[in-house]
Amino acid sequence: MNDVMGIVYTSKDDLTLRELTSQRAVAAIPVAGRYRIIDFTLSSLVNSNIHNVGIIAQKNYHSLMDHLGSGKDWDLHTRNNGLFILPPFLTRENGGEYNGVLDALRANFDYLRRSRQEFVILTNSDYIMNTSFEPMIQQHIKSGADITLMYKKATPEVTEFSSSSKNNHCYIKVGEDNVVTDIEINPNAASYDNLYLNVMMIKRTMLMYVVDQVISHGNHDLYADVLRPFINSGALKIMAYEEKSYYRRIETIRGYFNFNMDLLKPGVRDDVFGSNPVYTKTRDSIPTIYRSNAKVSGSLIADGCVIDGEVENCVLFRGVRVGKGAKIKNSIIMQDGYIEEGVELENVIFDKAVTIRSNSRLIGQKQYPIVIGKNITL
Amino acid sequence: MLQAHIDRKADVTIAVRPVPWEVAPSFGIMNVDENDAIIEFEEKPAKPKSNLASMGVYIFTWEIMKKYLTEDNADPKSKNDFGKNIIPNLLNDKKALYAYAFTDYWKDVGTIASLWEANMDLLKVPPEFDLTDPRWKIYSRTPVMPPHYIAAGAVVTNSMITEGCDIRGTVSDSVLFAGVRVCEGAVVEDSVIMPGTTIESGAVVKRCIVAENCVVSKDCKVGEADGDIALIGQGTTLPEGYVVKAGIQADTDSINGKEGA
Repeated sequence: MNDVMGIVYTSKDDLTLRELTSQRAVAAIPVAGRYRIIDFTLSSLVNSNIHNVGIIAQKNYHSLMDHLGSGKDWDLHTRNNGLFILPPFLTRENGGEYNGVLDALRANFDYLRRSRQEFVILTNSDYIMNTSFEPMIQQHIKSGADITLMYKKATPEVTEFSSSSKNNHCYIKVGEDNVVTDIEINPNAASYDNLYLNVMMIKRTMLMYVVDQVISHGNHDLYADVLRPFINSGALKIMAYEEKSYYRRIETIRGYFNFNMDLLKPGVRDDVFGSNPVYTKTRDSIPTIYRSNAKVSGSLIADGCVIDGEVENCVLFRGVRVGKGAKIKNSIIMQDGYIEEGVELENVIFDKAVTIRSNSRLIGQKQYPIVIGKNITL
Repeated sequence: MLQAHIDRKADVTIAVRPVPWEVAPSFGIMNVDENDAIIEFEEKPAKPKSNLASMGVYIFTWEIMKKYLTEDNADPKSKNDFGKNIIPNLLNDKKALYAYAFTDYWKDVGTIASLWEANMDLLKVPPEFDLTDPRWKIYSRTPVMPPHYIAAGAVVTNSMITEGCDIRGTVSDSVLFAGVRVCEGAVVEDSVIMPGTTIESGAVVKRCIVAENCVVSKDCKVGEADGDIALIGQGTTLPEGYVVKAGIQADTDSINGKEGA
């Protein structure tokens, strides 16, 4: 077991995800037919032998708690370590909502103090990546860094954010021996092509010290009040680790749509699922049943579906029913969706348990898919 | 069944199922009176007096079970068998033995043909055995695999397909287990393909059970559209173009010996 604990911050900046986040945290959004976004982060941590994981929950965390349960599906139900859900709570100092990750860590100081691991991996959970943190852990320990920042070369696919979203997009300058020499926070035009992935490694006691110092001086921003001054002053040794795995941040409906569609390419499926298993809450569905009128191509289909219509380039989650004569194209249908006979759909995202009655027609645009919220009957 | 056991103040209740008379001689048969009390038990009778076959499911009142097992264990002449010793001893002692007739779906999957049929029963519309009742789930170990993928150009009809499968060929009237790959141009019909098996391009599989982790290589012909069910044993890699005829059972040993066909 690694001497490392994980802290997963589930961010609350979710307005660009429209209906998908009206009832749930970004981390709890269903993706890829049978997962939630957080499954990828959790599985990467567990697969890297990290068995003490704290989840900082923000508003709308009911769905997240329901999904994570005791943590047994990730093997995180042990006696001493395991899974800790850290929702905001009202105290004299805390108004019931975290003002950023540092504030959340300050509120959960006892959890940090109680944990026994020497190091912490602090990560967001608004991205898809299936990787091992082992190489970064090794580099961090070997280099004697105070903080190691995980980054990736910023190709257009990786940085496809909506223009209005300024959600802590940081670009770092990496000098000799992987030392970080500058950081830009939410630039309009970045000077560097190294995108910080919002995953860092730090000694647990140092994290506690930094949190205490910054909060007690009335500051609260991890990026502007911790990383930028420490990088610029050189007071801490901040190093960079280059990650090469597939990585997509899910911040917009378009990003969400594109990631799911990306999975229909075989190369991408190998990148995302090929190396290490991705764990999720199991549902004990039966296999999917294809009836005699089924015509399915280029699609990713979870268990428990019953298909008697045409499905092309789609992601169907568990328990979706597609009636006879229905035609679905380039769409994402979440759990228990019911597409009745003769329905025609294109470029739509149906949240959980959406029913669309016989012979309806709903056609969105590829650049702006139609999103239908949970439990709606059309 | 448990409620019936309690209501009748039974010592033993045995689940029975009416079977066709012609197959009754191959089962343990219960002869009952008008109240379903068991008056006689016959193991595989040549001339059965009833067609109620024991399903091998018993409810015992605890004290009775303990007493008869203890006595049976102390008897050096006993074969220590429920059907041969315990049940006859209980009948001799005039204990209260009742049959409980079960009439829902029940299939003994002890032969290749019946195992294949049980899988095909799931594909009937409506299915003979409905697994979809959300209040009565059938639990199993869940493989940690992504959803299955149906490629462009694949044809999948009247089949059950589960997680981790990758389908590029034609699959009809078949049941596929987790992680099965059906390559482009391969055909799978009326078959059961178990976890981790690959059907390579150009291979044709008909009326066959292919066990776990097999490779049916390019252009193999396994099974036939009519005739008995063919079987490929666990972990077998069939060489390219290999032919397995209807009703034949092939495994690594048989293909390395002489032609399986």
